[in-house]
Amino acid sequence: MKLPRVFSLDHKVIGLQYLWLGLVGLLAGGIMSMLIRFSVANPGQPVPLLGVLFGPSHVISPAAYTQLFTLHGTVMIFFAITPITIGAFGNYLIPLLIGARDMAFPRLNAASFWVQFAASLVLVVAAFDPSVSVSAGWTAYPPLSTTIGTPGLGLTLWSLSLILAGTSSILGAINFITTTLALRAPGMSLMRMPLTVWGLFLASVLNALFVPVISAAMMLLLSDRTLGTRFFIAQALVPGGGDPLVYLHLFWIFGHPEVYILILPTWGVISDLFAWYSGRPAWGYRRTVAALCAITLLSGVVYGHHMYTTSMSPLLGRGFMVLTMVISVPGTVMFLDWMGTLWRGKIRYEPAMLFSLGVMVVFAAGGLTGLYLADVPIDLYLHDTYFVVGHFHLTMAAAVLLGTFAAIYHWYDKMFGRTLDRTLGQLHFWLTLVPLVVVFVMMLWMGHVGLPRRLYDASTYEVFRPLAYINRLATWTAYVLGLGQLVFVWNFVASRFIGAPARANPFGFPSLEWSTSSPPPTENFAEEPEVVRGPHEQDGNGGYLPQRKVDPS
Amino acid sequence: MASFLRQLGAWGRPLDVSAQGWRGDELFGWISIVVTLALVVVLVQLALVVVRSRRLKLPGTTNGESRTAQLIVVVGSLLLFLLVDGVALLRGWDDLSAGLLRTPAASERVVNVEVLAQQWAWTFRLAGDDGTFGTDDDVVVMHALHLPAGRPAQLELRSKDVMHSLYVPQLRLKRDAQPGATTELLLEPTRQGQYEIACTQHCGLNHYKMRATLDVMDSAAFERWAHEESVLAKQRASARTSDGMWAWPFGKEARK
Amino acid sequence: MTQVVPLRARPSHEATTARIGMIVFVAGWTMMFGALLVAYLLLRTGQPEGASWPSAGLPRVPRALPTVATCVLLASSGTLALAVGSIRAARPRALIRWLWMTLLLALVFLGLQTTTWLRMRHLGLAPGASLYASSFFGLTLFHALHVIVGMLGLLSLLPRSYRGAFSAHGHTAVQSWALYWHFVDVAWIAFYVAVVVW
Repeated sequence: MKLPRVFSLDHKVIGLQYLWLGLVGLLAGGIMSMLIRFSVANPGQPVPLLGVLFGPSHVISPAAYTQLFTLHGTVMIFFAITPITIGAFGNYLIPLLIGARDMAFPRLNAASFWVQFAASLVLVVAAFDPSVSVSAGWTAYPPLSTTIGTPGLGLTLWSLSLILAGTSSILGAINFITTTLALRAPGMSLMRMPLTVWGLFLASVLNALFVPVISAAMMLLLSDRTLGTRFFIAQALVPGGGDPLVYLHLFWIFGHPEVYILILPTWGVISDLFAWYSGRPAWGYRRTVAALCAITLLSGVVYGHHMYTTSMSPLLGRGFMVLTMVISVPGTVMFLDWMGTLWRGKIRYEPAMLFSLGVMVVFAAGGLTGLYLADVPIDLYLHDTYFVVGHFHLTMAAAVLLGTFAAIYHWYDKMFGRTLDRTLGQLHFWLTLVPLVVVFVMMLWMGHVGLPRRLYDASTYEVFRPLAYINRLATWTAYVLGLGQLVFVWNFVASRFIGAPARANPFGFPSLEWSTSSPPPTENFAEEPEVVRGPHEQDGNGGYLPQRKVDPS
Repeated sequence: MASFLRQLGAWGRPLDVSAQGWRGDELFGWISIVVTLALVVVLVQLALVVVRSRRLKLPGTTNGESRTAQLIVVVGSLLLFLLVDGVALLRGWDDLSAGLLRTPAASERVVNVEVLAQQWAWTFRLAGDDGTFGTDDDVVVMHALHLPAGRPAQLELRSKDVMHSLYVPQLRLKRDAQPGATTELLLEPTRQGQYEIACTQHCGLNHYKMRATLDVMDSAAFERWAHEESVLAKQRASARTSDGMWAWPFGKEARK
Repeated sequence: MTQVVPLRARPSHEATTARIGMIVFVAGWTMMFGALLVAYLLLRTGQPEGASWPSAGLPRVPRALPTVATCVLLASSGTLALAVGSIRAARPRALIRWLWMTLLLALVFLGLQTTTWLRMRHLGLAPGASLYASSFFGLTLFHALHVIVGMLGLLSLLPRSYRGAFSAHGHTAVQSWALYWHFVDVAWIAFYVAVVVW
């Protein structure tokens, strides 16, 4: 039986399906962020252009605002970043970079895409449910997220959607881990894998282990919402009730590894790109791998720093403070390795490289601001303020967004067989990096003044009224950022048709995917590649020796 | 111009009016210096990379796995950790013991307050003249917390519905109010004046309106006010409805 | 596009990939069941001091039926192990017999569970009655869902067994579903100890 191409089992087709799905999510999440910024700067004012979304008054109500920031977080994390960095790059790149013909379980692979697709549809229905109840924040702390705090079908569907998206992630992770471990081409030892594959592999390990935890939490929440159970409805509210803090534990046991799930693929990608665009070996390759593994291990034991202000025991809080800081050691190692790669590099300022350098800058800023938040005494002041918003947007939103663009610019030729416009790419870089940094640094600033996040109208509080100026400035900067992305949309879509046809290996990159055509044929390689060296071995003339054994003929 | 400068002043952190807020502020300042230094190093290094890259004929060949490189990176990372995180950790640890988690002595004349959070209001309860919570002379005030300056106040927080968080920017502190649990917060305001209390845990549609006032009074004035309110409360006690009766036994020992 | 290329891993890898895939799957699902157990432990130990479990005035779930169900489920693991043993010894007929036997035992298990749930409702232990009832219903229903998935998996093996698609050296699917089944079995024992015995 021949299935239509849309149900293809080819990892490249599925990868591109993930890419499109994720880009649509990114667009939706991006538009939401613009609406949030508009509302924050002009609460109660009619929205220009998109006002119809908010009823005849065109005004974002408090209900609509809470729904917007809930959906923005949910969509960006589970329906934009995850499908792009892990779904699309993982699917497209892992088999190509390790010299496999396809994923280990092609049918499971297609299934995970379609489950993710179903999850997206459920979320869309939830978002347009007239109850406007997807409004408990993406963290959905109970009892606000139970029917006591937020009745309505919307939030119920939201938790169902997250269970589906989680299932998709777990199925994908099973595939990625198995493929990486079992289907490497002859000669492709683990220590010859490009760091991109390492990043994706470790992200998959975390996905396989920690996404089940949030699935469990979501199932208990869903059960509270539909079956009338009372896991998270507190004693104080109903006799014989449960404890909302249990949800917080489960949520953050997943939630902290999740930020590493989101950033690990980016770290892997830019570790490779720094080398490939500067003609250098990835400096301290083994050490970088060790650092990535150490971060992966530690990521599971630091989650308590999200709960310093709760009734969690202060002693536990101190323990988590120490563990959280320990994670900065492998982080520093990785960062120094990047510096070592760039040092004495012959840099080529292709858009992919620019975006990678951008990741380094925003990640340095974001990572360092973590130092404030890890400290309990400072966190009690900064917790739930814009400082936290600025911090996590720099580390996991800005860094991941830039890393995603870096990967798209780097592999677009391979994926689509066409070339992106270089100048537009560079323009896009500056239109992205500068406003990103400005917006989130302004958020850090407003947070350090004490401005709480998730306020519909901050002018309730006199002490924050002077911040209205900065708030408005941040909003205008965000508009610039949003408009700047149109350059990318044009470049991405138009190059598909009018871009110059891509050559198999335009820049002499050494990794396996460049030893086959652009785009690669079904099953990737005409003959099984044999790997004879690591991914960044120099040829002595400023270029690289290909990883694949070259036939003398 | 003058108004612009005043504007700039309002963009800084609100004035600290607490006995322990300086601890966090000092640590904040110290970390800020380190962070700025680190960012400068990163940016200078990137600039050098760009400049040197132009002059290079061929990229360098070191792969960073020599013994020296290993040593520099690993030892460097550990040293940075000890110097930066280590100091931050020790400071943070001490600050917790000396500030937030300390148990004030009886001689400090601690004011005990029970705080009940609900969508979307704060209610504060003082024990009244008899010093016991849950009696007719309790002073119960909605939307306003009255405290004496220069004396510690031990707050116990609970929530009637969803999670909330009590936050006073000028005291540099916040603590969640949870249903089904009691959380504690030690406040030590030092300067008289009116400050704002905000809820910082998203608690529903009107979360942004969940505001209360912190009125820090002169100690004698506070005593006078508390006594008058307590007497009034007792007089009105017979007419009071049951919704005023949410008090709980104060203190960990009492609750056992 | 007339060329038919089989889109799958090289056959020589199938046994390896299936094993690794199943291990990762079981690891992930252990985390999920583990998270539920941890939640249950935290909820139960977090009850106010002196509070009885179940809350005062509420009946306990009778232990007899779930205990019998546990034995039945354990037996089904045994019959499934025999099924795997049969195909390893190249006895495809025995495989079919033991698969049916396992499915039958699984059905009995579900029947016993359903009886327990109905009796609970009868006793006034609806899911919303108390945290005690919530945990009992939540955990056992969640587990039953996995039993149903396992039964569907075992059912999917039957047509292939009748066709003779499995051999002593090629029965990866049987082994994978058996591993899943044993996992669901072990998870049940943990749940049984936590919500029935304790």
